[in-house]
Amino acid sequence: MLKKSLIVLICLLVISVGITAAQEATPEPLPPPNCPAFEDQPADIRAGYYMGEGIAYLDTNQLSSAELSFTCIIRVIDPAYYPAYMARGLTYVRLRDFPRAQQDFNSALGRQPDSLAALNNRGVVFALQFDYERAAADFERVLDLDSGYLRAVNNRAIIHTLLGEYDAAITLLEGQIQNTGISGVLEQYRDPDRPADAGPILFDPLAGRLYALLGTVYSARALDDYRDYIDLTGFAGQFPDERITAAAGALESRFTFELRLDDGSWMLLDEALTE
Amino acid sequence: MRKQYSWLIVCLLLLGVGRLSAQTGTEECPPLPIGLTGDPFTYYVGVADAYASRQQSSAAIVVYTCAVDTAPDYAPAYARRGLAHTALGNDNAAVADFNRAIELDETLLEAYINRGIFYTRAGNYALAIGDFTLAATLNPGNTRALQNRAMVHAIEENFDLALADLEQAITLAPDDPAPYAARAAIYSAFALQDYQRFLDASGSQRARLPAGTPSEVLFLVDESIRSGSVTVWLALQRAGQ
Repeated sequence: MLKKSLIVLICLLVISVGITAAQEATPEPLPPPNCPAFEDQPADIRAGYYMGEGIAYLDTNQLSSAELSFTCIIRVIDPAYYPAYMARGLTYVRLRDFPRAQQDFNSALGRQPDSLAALNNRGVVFALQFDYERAAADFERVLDLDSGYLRAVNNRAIIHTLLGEYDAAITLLEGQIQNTGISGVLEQYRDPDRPADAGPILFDPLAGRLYALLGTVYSARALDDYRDYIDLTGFAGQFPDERITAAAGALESRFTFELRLDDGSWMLLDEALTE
Repeated sequence: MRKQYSWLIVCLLLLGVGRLSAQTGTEECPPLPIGLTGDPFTYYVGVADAYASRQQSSAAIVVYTCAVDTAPDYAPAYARRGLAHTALGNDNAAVADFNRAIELDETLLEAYINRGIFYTRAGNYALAIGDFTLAATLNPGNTRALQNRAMVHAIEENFDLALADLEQAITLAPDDPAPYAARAAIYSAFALQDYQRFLDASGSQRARLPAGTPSEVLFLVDESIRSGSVTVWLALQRAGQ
């Protein structure tokens, strides 16, 4: 009798645990939002309205309202509308809701598998979740599709640096400095014969940034080398050269604050929602 | 010397004109979204509505103008631009927009509601009540028209009429939160009227209210509801003789 009761009790426990787990695993989907604008109009007209509303909210940092506008398109008007997933994904990134952002960029890629922006942005979202392997895979895919897509170059170089792959980062950045012709622009500016009243030479700021990133990679490598030296002297029971510990400390501070590479602030999203 | 002054004035004038044109010269339509397949006018309306909802009236006017330039017969854009003009005190532009909206669609509810708001702000309460009444007649379920009319009644200190409109709005849409806040304000007005009656009947405008000042009473009533404290109600009970 006692044995039977025990079995019944265990069964009940297992069932209740199962129910709880099922409830946690499948949260109730939220009801679709109320989207009354242009209700009697075709989907493209309505999608246009909510894109406008959402982009304006996004531009003014009204993120919850922006999310609602884009959700109107996705849940109510046209679930196949690719730009709405991109826009809502960007909204979620700003809200730092990375799982939802990832889901939206996945949905965008489901509709446009070769979208450079969606791949790049999903890579950034992976990186923000410290999933550097998948981030690198996305950036590599972007560069396979378009080797001159500088946002992905920037982002791939950062992932290389975070993983200590300095040579790969340097090779990538130096190659792009050549390909973009930005080194030529620098040469022109430094040309001693250049007239003083010559107008500015326009260039892509993302190309200019390659130099800055290259400097950051070299600094990261320098910090690693300083650390190796400090470790080595420490293991041997020697005092390291104070000038090197000071330099290492300064770099350590830089990479904790201004040059911190793992907080996403150096990653470049493709935020172009308008023409 | 006089010539120098006139040159200075001309320069200042030119500067002023330059600044003015620079201010208006930025009035460009926002870029269209990538992949837009429909008519851009709804996109512009969406952008403008978002600006308007955040009280960014100048930006809203610019983008509503893009909408009406793209779809000149879309009446709601005029009605909404009119409201944005109202917020900025551009009375003539506002009236022109409301009239154009009604000309295009004489059954457009928001045109009457927004024009009613304009008339309210302009102090023309009879015309405001007329517009809100027309809107309420066009759509008897519209609680905004009723609430707005109630507020005009309140401005005119016709609190009974205001309360009647708000009661009707609440009955029509019990889940709409806005009329409750408006009704609470009307109850406050009734309360203040009664406090004034108390002072008048007491024969002194400085007579001490039994449970404290109106603000103190409101605080104590709140406390009573939240914590069960009966202080305020006890203070208002009266002895046998």
